[in-house]
Amino acid sequence: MELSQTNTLTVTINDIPQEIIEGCTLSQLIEQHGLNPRQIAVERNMEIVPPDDFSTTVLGPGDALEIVTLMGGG
Amino acid sequence: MSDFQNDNQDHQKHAEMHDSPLVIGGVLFRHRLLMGSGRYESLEVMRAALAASEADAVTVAVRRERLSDGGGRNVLDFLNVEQLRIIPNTAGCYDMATAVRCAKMGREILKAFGCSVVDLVKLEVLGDSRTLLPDPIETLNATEQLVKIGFKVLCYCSDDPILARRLYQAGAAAVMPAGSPIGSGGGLSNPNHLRIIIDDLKSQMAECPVIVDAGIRTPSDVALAMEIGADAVLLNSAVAKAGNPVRMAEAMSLAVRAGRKAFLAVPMQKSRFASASSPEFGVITRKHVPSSGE
Repeated sequence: MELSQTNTLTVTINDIPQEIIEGCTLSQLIEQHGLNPRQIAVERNMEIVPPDDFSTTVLGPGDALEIVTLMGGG
Repeated sequence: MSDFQNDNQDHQKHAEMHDSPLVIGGVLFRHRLLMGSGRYESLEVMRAALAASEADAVTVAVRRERLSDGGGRNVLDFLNVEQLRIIPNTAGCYDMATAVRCAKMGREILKAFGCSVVDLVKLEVLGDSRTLLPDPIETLNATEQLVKIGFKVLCYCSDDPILARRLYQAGAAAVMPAGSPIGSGGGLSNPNHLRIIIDDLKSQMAECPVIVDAGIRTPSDVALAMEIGADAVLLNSAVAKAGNPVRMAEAMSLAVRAGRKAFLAVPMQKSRFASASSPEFGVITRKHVPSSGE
């Protein structure tokens, strides 16, 4: 296995599967996607993760993340 | 002449003095127009229309972040959060659980962004995708849930007076009956029901703001809603889809003020028959004039 040195695991973000490196935190994932942490809200397995916990939240295999923002609406 | 002007000014002062500002869930609003932020051709046009409307409250939708392009431009960058109350909606939710999740995530974003007021939510739980009419039972259940967890719930609902009362009893901060279906431009399809709702929610022990939401097309729709005693109007498509959104935003703002003043001024009594504005004596003829009452 080529990936054996850096183990990966799969999470879903907004229902889309994504492979991430083991130990990856929510902060790192948010940064990777170029998102502004001040303009989003994150649910991990249906539970809201407060922004203060982004950097200490280590993602696990099968985690389902929901990342939302605000858009124009009525 | 000057006496007349003074009287007029006194009257205006009187009317304004007796108009308390709009308060929803303890939050004060400077204008009785609440604006949506959707369906504009660009965020720049939206920003200009919001400024022209003079509204200090704007609704926004909670949606999944686009991961392909780093989210792109965000509506928050186009809203003056120092001056505007931002009210996330639960648009597109068809059940209580999803609506509650949506509301919580909206609140979380406002907190992260540093907004001073974060607990207002426009609750919208729909029951049908073609009419976008609200599901009254899910809406009531969601209201109860959201009130329990500290939200100030502005309930989008149908114009059913009994439902409006139930939402008020469930702790809604404002009840927002639809004039007609969302984005339809159908105006106020049942003003009588709106009158009953307003009468009912203003006559109880505590006062619950009634905001006409959805279906507005023209300033006359807005003025009518305000004239019959609505506390405010919430609109979006009427401005966003107008030929000139900025000009229409200003027109809507004036209509809200005109309708509110008219409500406070108390319109004259209606009569089936005429009542001459000019003196009936001293007309330069003595000819007998026929009357249907003779």
